[in-house]
Amino acid sequence: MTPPGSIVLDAVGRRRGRSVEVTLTAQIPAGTHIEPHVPTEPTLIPTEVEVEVEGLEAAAVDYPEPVRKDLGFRGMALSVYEGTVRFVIRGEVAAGVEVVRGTVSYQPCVGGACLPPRSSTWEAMLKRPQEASSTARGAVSVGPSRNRSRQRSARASESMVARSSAMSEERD
Amino acid sequence: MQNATMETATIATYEVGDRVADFELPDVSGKPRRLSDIAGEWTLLYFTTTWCPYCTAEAPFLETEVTEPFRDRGLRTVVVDVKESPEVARQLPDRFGWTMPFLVDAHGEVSERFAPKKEGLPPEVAVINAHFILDSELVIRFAEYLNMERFDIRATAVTQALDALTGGEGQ
Repeated sequence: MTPPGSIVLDAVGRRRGRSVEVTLTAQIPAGTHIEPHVPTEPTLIPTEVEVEVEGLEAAAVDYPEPVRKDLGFRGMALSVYEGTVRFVIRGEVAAGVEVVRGTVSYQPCVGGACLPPRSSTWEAMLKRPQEASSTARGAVSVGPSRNRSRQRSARASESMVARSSAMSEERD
Repeated sequence: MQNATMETATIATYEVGDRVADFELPDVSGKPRRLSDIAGEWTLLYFTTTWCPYCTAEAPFLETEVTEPFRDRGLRTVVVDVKESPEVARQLPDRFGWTMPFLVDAHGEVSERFAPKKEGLPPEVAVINAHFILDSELVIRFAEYLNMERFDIRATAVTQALDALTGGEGQ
């Protein structure tokens, strides 16, 4: 059973030569929102996508547009992510790299309370073309983000099962 | 890391009118601090964390606008950081320039006894941003818990209660 406010990640990647694009789909449970990458207030903790695999170079992340909601916080509407959101990572992989992985760190708020920040891992395997139609699923451990020291020690430790989808490799 | 020590363990969850059992927690330097030693004639006990957006929104006002106006009436504010390491917790006094006693309840043992019962929330979350006003006998005279829909950055309900209890119409 996943803890309240935990997101479920689905990672799908495409590779063309050295170029790789990974789409992370995050399912945010009903009644839960997470802070966006650029929160409304600097005191709010942003969602961060990180890539932790060696060999993935020049990785950049496109974050989705948040929605605005009036949550009663200081009488202002806040930007949040809710429902299904997608993050797109683009980069280049070195020869021989078969797996890319990383984390999504976020702070969920459920109903009337914000919960401690946490981090979920994602992993996408590079498959050969003939294997690309199969989807790998597996248990993924969750650990603290390496991005922000002020969040690092505060993150809740949890375990969850995330879906890890095979990456398709395209020929040049 | 030093654990909390409690005088008694007979009260499950505190309510207004309860006398708080004296406790000892370390400050960010690891020095043990006992509540009864740092309490004032009146004490505002406040629970916080670095990750609570409401707490960090209120933080700039906690000492200057909530505490200072009542200092000459005997008020002391004691801040308790909930379930974070001293290294993480110290970001709050460092960032906001607090001079108030700042204690670290790294294991949440003290904090959980102040937590309201909120369905689906663990005590260490439910207690965040809670304010308690204690009298000189460490009896809880006022309590306010976080309500996201009525959140007030300047803790007006707390200052009104402090005014009434320490010299206003409450005396």
